[in-house]
Amino acid sequence: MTQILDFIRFTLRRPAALIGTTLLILQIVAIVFAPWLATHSPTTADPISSLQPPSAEHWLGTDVSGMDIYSRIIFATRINLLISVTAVLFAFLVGVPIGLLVGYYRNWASTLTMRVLDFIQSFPIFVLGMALVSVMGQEIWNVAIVLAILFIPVFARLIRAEVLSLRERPFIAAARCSGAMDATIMFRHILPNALTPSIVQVSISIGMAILLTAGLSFIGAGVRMPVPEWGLMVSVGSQQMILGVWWVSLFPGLAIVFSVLSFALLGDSVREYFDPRRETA
Amino acid sequence: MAEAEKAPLVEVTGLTVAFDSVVALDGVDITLQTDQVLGIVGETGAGKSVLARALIRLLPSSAEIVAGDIKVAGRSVAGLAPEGLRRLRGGEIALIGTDAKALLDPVRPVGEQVADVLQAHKRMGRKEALTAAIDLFTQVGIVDPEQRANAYPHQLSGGMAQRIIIAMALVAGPKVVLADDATLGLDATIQVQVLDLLVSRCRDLGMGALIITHDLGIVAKYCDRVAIMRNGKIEEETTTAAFLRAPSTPYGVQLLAAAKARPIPMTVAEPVAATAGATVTAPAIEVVGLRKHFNMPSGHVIRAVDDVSFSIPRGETLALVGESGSGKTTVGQCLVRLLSADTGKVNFGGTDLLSLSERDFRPVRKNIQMVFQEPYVALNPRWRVEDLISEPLALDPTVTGSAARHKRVLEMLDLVRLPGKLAKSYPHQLTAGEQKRVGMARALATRPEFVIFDEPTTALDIRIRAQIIDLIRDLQRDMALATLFITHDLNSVRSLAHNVAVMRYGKIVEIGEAARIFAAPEHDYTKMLLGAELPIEEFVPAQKQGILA
Repeated sequence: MTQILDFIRFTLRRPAALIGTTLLILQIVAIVFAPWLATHSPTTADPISSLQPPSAEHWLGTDVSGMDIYSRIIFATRINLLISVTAVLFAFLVGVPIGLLVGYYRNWASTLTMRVLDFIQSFPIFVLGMALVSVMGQEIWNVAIVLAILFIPVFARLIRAEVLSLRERPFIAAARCSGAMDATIMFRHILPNALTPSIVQVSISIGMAILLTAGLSFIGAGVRMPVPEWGLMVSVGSQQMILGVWWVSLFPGLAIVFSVLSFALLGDSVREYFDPRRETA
Repeated sequence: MAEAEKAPLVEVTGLTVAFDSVVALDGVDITLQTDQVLGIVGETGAGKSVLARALIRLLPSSAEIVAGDIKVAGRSVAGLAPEGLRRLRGGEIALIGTDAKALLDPVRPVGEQVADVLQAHKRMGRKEALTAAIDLFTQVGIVDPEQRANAYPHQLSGGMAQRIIIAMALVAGPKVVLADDATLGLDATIQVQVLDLLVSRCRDLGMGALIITHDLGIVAKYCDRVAIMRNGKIEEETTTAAFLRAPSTPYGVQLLAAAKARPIPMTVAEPVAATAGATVTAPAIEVVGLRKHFNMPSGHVIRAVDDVSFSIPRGETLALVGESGSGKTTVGQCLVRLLSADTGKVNFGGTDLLSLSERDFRPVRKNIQMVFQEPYVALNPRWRVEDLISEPLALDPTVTGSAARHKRVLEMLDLVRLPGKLAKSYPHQLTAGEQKRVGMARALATRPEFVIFDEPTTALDIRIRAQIIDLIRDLQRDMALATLFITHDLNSVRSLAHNVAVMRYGKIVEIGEAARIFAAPEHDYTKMLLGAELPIEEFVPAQKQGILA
């Protein structure tokens, strides 16, 4: 609790952290109050009012099927953050134990696991995404699973690197002399000391996941119409862009920018917050 | 002052330095004459390093000189412009710091680095500078200087690196050399060689030297005068001889008393047979033919422990002394099974520990514990003291339930003379001495029969060190512990050990009663080791010089 208060105090003194937090709060508000904030249904087509520029009726205009862009952006916050947060948390929960085991036990199984992770990471992201989504179907959850698979190696590697240095530290030897078993050493001694970089990475990865979700939808490997999703909205609008219909793509694009920015700024702030040198500086 | 006719080399008057509003130096007065070696002694936080940095104007930006003046060779350093400062540093006053390897650029050969310094202070070409550097290497006693000049810092030993730093410091012919804990972390024999070199070069070249240290032994051997610092003030400043005879302040008396060894009376009624391993009563632990070799990737084998045998009776301490790389720590690690020994027997309570499986060995851990060297890194930074001390209690079947564990934790804190309220603290909130005590409480929590202390007195301030030594003595007596005491600090060996085993290159070269070893060492290496000791009891610098030559 005191740590939360401490973080709030820390945030208030840093413009970057403050902007990141404010943007995050705006997104949470959009998620919680979407039905009240939206002026129209996000998925109901209205061919009569197709491609209308921003106006009092449609604040940010309408797309080719006449759906209200403002309302879709608001509702898309739910979808985009749901996909990204779930994917990253899932990757965190799977990647951390993998990294811990692989770093702690150095045998053929851990080497094999590392090579598998190398394989996943060396695969072009969009090719992998398209392949997986085309096999499993263009559902929200499938996009989340693709992203999770992509992020597992990131967390596993981060944790492994920490574990490799921590396991040689004298306090681990001391714990072993005190009769601590492998599980105790891994989960009670090493893990708490190894988590900080991964916690920082969570925020940064959520930003990346939002970008990737949008990217997958843009190339048609993500969710399908009429699901409100930022990348898909940009994609739909891109066809009319050359006709001077700028609003269909611009506004969801800005939503992506601000959302990614908020998580990147938060990630930086969390990193600074956990930096042990902060106290002495 | 007898030599008042010459202008002093360094004259510090009423120097007061503050960090924000915290006063680090408080009205410090110091005078250093030509041809003089002044020792500045103090404990952590006394302000020694701040003084050193003030002298060469390298204070951090958060520090401010509030009052006072520093004169080097009659000129005030306060108002110097950058160019004047550059000439001051290195030119008139040279700093030799701790950890020489860290002071050298890791990616360039050392010869070039010395040549850089030469060119910075004297007009000379590159070739000429390199030749001069090699010449300097010879002067500081580096064997094979041409080859060494091409070496990178990581290829040098600590003592060698420190010599190069000294060579660099002497390049521009400074008037004053400032050695800030310059030999910290070096082996005793190397420390003596480096200090011998430094002081003799200073005397030959007619320079003054300021030696900042926390070791009164260094002061006793090398310094003409000594200044005792405490809380940013000079407590007393006098000749070394006068200080060692009778310090004039209560703090000086305390410090000197704490630095002296207090030999222990032999607690065992029957005299212990001086030969390896054979004792009258059944020993608590008996090690026979212990061997541990490491196969390096390059193919050669390091014989870290090579056929080591000893035994320790209950209530007695065996000190395992040796310099870094002698294998003494490896012995300890083999006994607590942090490393698995190659061959040998460790007889403990009738069983051979080395033949036990990890599962069968775990119950034995209750009775064999180890106190780790560096207290801070050996404690999990995210655990509270209470959790740290109660962790080994899982091995003790007589302590069950959280109430019983809590009770034992408080008992242990009391045993190591720490207040019970520290139970809720984290390691970083404790002082080094307190951390050391927590490490001991943790090792003793299961009431073991045999305890290994790995360098328990290293890197501690004089008075803290004396307190820890006293504590270990009391604990050992009260708990009838058999103790293996791994150290390179001979002074604490005198205060703690009944028997001494001297290790070198993985072998025990001499073993016997402490009193006998100190009085009449037999092996040449033991003699060398004892010769490198800087005891403050026998203040006869001239006599000791001969042993080292």
